[in-house]
Amino acid sequence: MVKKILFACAISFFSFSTINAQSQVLGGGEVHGSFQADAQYYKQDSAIGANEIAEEMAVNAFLEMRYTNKGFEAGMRYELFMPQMQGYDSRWKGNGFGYRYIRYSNDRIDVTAGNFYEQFGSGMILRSYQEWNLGFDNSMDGVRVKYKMKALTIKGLVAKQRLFWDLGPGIVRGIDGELSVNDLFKSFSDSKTRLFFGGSFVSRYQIDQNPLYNLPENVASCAGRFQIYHGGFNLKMEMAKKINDPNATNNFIYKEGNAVMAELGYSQKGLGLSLQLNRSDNMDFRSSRTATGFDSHVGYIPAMTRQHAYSLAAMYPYASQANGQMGLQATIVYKLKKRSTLGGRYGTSIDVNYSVSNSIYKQAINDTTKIGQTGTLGYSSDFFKLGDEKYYYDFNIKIQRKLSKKWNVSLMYMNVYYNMLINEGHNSPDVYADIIIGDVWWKFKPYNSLHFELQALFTEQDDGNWSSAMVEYNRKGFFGAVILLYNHGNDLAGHTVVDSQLYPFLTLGYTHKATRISAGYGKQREGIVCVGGVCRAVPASNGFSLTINSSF
Amino acid sequence: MSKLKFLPLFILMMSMLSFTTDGNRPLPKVDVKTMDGRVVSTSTFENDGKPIIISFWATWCKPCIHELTTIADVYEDWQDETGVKLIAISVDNSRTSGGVRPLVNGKDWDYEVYLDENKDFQRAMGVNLVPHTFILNGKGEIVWEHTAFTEGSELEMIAILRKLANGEDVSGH
Repeated sequence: MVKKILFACAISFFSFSTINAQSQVLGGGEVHGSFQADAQYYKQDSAIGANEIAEEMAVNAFLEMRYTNKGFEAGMRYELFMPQMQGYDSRWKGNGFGYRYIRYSNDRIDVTAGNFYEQFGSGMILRSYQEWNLGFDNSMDGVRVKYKMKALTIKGLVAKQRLFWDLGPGIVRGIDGELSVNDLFKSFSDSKTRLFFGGSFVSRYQIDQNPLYNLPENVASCAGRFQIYHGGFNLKMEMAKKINDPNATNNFIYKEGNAVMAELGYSQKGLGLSLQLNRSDNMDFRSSRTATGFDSHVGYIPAMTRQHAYSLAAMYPYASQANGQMGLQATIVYKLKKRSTLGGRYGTSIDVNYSVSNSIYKQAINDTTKIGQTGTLGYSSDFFKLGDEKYYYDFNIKIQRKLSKKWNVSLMYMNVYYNMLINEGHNSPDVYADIIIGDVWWKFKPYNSLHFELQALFTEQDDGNWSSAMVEYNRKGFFGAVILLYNHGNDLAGHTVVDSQLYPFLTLGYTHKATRISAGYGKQREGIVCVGGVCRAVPASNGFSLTINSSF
Repeated sequence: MSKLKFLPLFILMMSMLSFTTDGNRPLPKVDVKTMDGRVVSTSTFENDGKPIIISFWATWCKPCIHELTTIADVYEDWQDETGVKLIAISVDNSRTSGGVRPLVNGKDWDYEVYLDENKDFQRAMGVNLVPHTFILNGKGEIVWEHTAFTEGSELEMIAILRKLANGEDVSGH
């Protein structure tokens, strides 16, 4: 150990002493990065799931830096969880460099060694990404090469995946190609129609040490996609397939997996329409066959539902079911013209969205095998047949109108159905809820504004009704807000009794350029909070919190 | 021990801070996609020597929509006055990126919009939270940046754009 420290010191000394020499070569390079620290002092409160911790205070922080010089780039991120804040996986506890890479790129080639994030197509068979505020990071650690030609881009990679402070057991190999047909033929280059094709292949290797079953060590998956754009129309489609991959999420069945996503859209000035369809069957793809929860995802099958930014609208979000779901989403955005009878002086924006997700149809493979029985082919499924269980639906409509230079109003209504067993994994009554929201901005002086937000959620299930009120004051970079969230409780027959509960929260903050500091005190429910001009996912807490955020 | 492995590299990077150019920072070169599927390098972003606003946003981000809607109301005036162009970078992932085109057209935004589905450009720009807005001078160098949007933030932006259009120094902002 001492040797290694000495070595580290020697290298760093060397690097300092050669700065002058290097500046000749490296002159003109740039260093940039970002920093975030969240500290939370906890008051005990078991009622909201924010328990006291032995350390009393928890801190999550990172500092990321990137050095670029012409085609060369190197970056790293130091991360600290001392301990991790409540709501984050306890395996995060610790500190160190969780991310580092070197990269060279020019107009043709792009090589990265170390950690990287990558997505093939829409990400169905490969997507690595990071969401710091959600405690998610499945970055690849390996080598990636991209080669760009006029019409064709090819990417190849081999890597292991980050799993908290370790690497997962599986090796991921992948190749992806995307072809722009318009750039392939000269006669087609100015065409109004644009056409793209893409294909990818991903394989995972993990040793099989299972005494009972003969498990595939190499699991291959492939995907094909196309996109067409013509005038206001667009059509996008991607299909993916995976060979048999018995794993912990599918109860170790030997069925093959497949998934499809399609999107049809039309838009013109003042009008946007889109329809999305998706079906996925046994398509949970991870670099470790024992992984569950959020661990070691290789493929990404998104929840095709709207991601809401109001706390009560976001209270019952759909959890995507990669191993079986079939759904659709439709969206219409329309703007009533400025200076029209209905549109008013500044115009009015209307946004309607509907999404629904169902189970897929499953049939037993024979009379003696139960559906999903371990070690069997599991089930068979008719591609076009819908299952009989509803997982989720969400209908929402939002109207936004600027009334005058000083007043701006948004109204929203939402109706949601939430299958408890599917989305939360426990057998409680499914939730049917109506949500109404009113959001008003009053800019009473330049640089001075007040923001009022009222939300109400009505349901007879789960925790019962909720209401929330917020007043926010903004003056130049300064903001202050009071949020009162109230759960009315639930004492209806057939439900676990939930006592009413108030969550008062006060927050103050200051933003200067790319630096933002905010402090909060009170009780907060986990979820999304949009205050002081940004939206953030926050964990449940009770006590004092401090956040610093900066980019440079 | 593994945690120490990268210490030298880290220190090396820190030491490089001391000789980064003092001038304005150029835009990193990253590939993003247009709303009709074309891959475009950020190095091609230009506006004939006039200033550019780059705004990172997402369909699920209320303050971002608020910012882009607020600017949309005055965008024509800003363009007439300063020649500015707004480039809106959506960081929606494949879950919500299908909603970008309908939203942009449905709201009648007259911006140049790109998709950054896996946040490559966002990371390269050091953006943690959206909205995050940059102003580039006529040479394509970043001269100002700001995170968060509240009413009145747009007034500061136009003040800077006016100065840039008049060739004045904006380092005081």
